[in-house]
Amino acid sequence: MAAASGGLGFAIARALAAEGCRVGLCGRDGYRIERAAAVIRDETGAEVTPAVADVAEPGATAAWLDGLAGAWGGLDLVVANAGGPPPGRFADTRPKDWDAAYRLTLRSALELAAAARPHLGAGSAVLFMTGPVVRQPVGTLVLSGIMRSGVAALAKALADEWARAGIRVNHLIPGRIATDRVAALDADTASRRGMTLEEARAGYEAQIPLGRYGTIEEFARAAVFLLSDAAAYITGATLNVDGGMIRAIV
Amino acid sequence: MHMGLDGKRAMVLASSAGLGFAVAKALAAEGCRLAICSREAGRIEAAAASIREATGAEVVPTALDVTRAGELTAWIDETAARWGGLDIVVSNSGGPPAGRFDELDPGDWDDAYRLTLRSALETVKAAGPHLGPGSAVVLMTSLTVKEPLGNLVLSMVFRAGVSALAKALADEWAPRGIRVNQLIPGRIVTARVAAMDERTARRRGVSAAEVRADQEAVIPVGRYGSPDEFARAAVFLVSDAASYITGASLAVDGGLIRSIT
Repeated sequence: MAAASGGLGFAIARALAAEGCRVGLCGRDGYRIERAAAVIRDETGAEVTPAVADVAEPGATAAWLDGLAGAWGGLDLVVANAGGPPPGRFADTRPKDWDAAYRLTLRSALELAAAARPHLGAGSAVLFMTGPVVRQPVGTLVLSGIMRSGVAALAKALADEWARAGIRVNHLIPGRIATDRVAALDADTASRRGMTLEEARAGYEAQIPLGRYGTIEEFARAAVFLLSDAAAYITGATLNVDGGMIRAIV
Repeated sequence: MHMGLDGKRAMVLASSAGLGFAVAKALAAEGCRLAICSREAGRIEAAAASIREATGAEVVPTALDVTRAGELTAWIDETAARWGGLDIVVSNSGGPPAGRFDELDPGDWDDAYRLTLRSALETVKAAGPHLGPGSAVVLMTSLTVKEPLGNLVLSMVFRAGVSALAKALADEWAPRGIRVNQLIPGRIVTARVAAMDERTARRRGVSAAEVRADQEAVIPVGRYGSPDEFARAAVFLVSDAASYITGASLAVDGGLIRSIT
C-alpha cells in the first residue's frame, strides 16, 4: 500500500490487515509511517512492514516493492496512491508545476505498475485511485484532472494487458472523503471564496446526495472488495465511492 | 468483511434462473429473507426450494408477469405488508430482443419499453414507500449503457433509461438514507447469453461453441463470468460495506467494456 501514513492509504492498509493480509506500507516521513504501522499492528495483530519512500522520487517505489517482494517471495495485492497536485486553474500553472504533478501523480503510478508486475502472479489484484476529476471537470483542479486521467487510462490498459496472466486491475474514485487532503482543498476553496472552512465544507456537503463526507473506513471497504476473490470477474472497472456526488450517469 | 445483511428483507426480480437467481441465493446465504418472482409458477417455486435447501433462508416465490402493469406493484405491496417493510430491492428483467433499428417496428419498441424500462419504473415506484434509512436498491442494466452494440438497439435505448433512473433515484432518495446503484453484467453464463450465442451462431452458420470462443477472445480475462461472481458484486453493493456508495455503476465484465472509466 503506497503512501499509507494517513488518509485513504492508511485506511486501506488497516482494512487489509484486518482481513488477514500481511501489509507493506510506505510514506515519505519515517516517523509517520512507523507510527501508522504501529497503529495497524496494535489493532489487527497483522505483520506490518513500514518503509520510507517518496513515490514521486524516481526509483523509490521500485526499490520498495522489490525489497518487499524479495522478503515475501512475491506480492498478491498492490494499491497505488499518491498525493494530488496543488489546486489551480491552467493559467495559474507553470511548466515546473506540470513536471511536479506528473512525477507525483502519474509517474508514481507508472513506476508502481512496472515495479510490481514481475512480482505478481495469477489471482493477484492491483488497485488505482483517482478522483472525481476523471469523470467531470473541476476548473481549479486542472493538473489533477490531467494526471489522474492518465492514471485511469493506465488502469484500463493494464487490465487488458495483464488479464491473461490472471492479474486484475481496477480503479476507485473517492469522492469527498474526510481526509487531510480534502480539508486542504476545502481551505483552498474557503480562501478563494472568502468564506470559512466550515462554510466551504457545508457547501460541498450540500452537493453530495448523501449529504455528508465519507469516512476513510467506508472508502477502504470498497478497496477490500475489489481486491478480494469476491471480485474475481471484475477487472478494468471503475467504482465511485462518493455518496452520489459525481454527475456522470454511468 | 462484515456485510450486515442478516435478517434483511430482500426482493429480487426475475429470479427463477440466471443472474436474478444467483443474486437471490447469495443474499439468502448472507442471512436475508427473500421474495422472488418470475413468470412461471413451477420454475419460481423450484428456484425457491433450491435456495431454501442451500441456505435455510425464508424464500417466498411468486409467479407474475413484469410486463403486465400492476402485477409488480401488487407483489411488492403484499411482500412489504407481510414483512412490515423492505430493505433490499434488486431489479432485473429480461432483455429486449436483439435486432438493428431497421429490423424493428413500433410493436417491438413498446414491448421492450414494458419489459425493460417500465418494469424498473414500476418496481421502484412501488418499493419507494416501503424503504427506509439503510435500505438499498440495485438496478441491473447491461454493457450497452457504456458502449454501443449495433444489433442490440432496443437494449441500448431502454437500459440507458434504467441507468438514468438509477442516477435520478440515487439523488432523490439519498436524503431518506436509501442507496441506489447500478450493476452492469458483461457476458455471464446464463440461458440468455447462451440463447444470444445460438442466434449469432445460426446467423453466421457456425457452432455456438465457436461463437462463445470468439466472444471469450475479446474478454480480457478470456472467459465468461459465472452468475455467482456477478452475485457477489450485488451483495457488496446492497451491504453496509457500501454505505457511502450511491449513484454508482459497477461493471462485472472481466474487462470487456471498452470505455475507460
